[in-house]
Amino acid sequence: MVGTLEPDAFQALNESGLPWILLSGFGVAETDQDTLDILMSMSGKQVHLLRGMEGQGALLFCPSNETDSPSLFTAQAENTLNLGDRVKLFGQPHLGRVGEVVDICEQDETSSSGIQYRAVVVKLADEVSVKVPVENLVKLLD
Amino acid sequence: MRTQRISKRHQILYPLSLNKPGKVLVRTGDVVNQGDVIAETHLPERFLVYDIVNQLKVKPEEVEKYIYRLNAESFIAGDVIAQKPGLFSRLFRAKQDGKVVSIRDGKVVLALGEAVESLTAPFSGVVSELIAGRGAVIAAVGAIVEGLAGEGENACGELVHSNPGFDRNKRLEDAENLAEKICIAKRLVMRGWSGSWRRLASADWWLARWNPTRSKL
Repeated sequence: MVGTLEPDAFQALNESGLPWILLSGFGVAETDQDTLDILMSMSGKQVHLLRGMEGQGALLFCPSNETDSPSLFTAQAENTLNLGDRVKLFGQPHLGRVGEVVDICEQDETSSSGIQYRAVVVKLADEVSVKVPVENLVKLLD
Repeated sequence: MRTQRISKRHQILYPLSLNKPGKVLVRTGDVVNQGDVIAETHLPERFLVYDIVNQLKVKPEEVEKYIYRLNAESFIAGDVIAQKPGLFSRLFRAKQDGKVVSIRDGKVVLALGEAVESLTAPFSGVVSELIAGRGAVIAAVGAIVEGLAGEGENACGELVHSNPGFDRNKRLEDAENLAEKICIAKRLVMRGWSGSWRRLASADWWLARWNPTRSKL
């Protein structure tokens, strides 16, 4: 399980035949604190590295002995982005940083290269707000 | 919208499905443990086409007289499938257990042996749903960290923190100590020789800098 990868290490990893999961992306980035806390809580325990289900990434799962099903009563629409949602950015220079959606632009923006994209304003932990294309973020689910 | 789930306590519904249709061995509500077989498919190991007309030297219109098995009939190793009686008897025996698949145009097709493909539960949980003829959905509660990308088969092991890299032969460093473990690394890098060391080791680099005139002086 790797936070970030170098492109040549990515090739070596694929050739090794080892199962792997990438958390943040390619380049240099710190893993966010929430993820680190959960990984620390799993440390030393038996965990399962599972192939991704349809439309989802591979996942690391640490079973608990609880039998109730928490998500049955708190199920939410997962594939829509709303104000206040927590998101992780995976484009430079904010790779791996986590923030909160404060605005979703209704009109498409045009970049300096002429590409049109739907923009989202994200407030990062250090109170800095950045405008990023919606394709460059992932919604974090609890 | 792309999502990434990171949760301390979440119920996952993990579908397990065979590539080919088979038999599902669990029922909804069953508690399964890691390694339990959820579904399996039985397929012939190989097929054999036997040309009775040419092998037994019989006339095409008389073939049916010499075949001792019916279509779809099972047989065990050593059973006679076809025989031409007489002074110089010729016969065709099955070398493995199997089944007659078809008898047509003087040829008999046999499905021999049995290859079993099993689908096992990767973790303990409850069967919440059946996938008809293919498998089941396993429900379990636990901590979950979803990745942006990933490859490879399912794996299980103790979670350890380490910082391995790949050596210049693209082998994972410390691989012996990490066997049967799942390792977390902040950043995975290649630890081959850096560019300057690689240059120093190259004969071309030394030759380019070797100046015989200057060494004579």
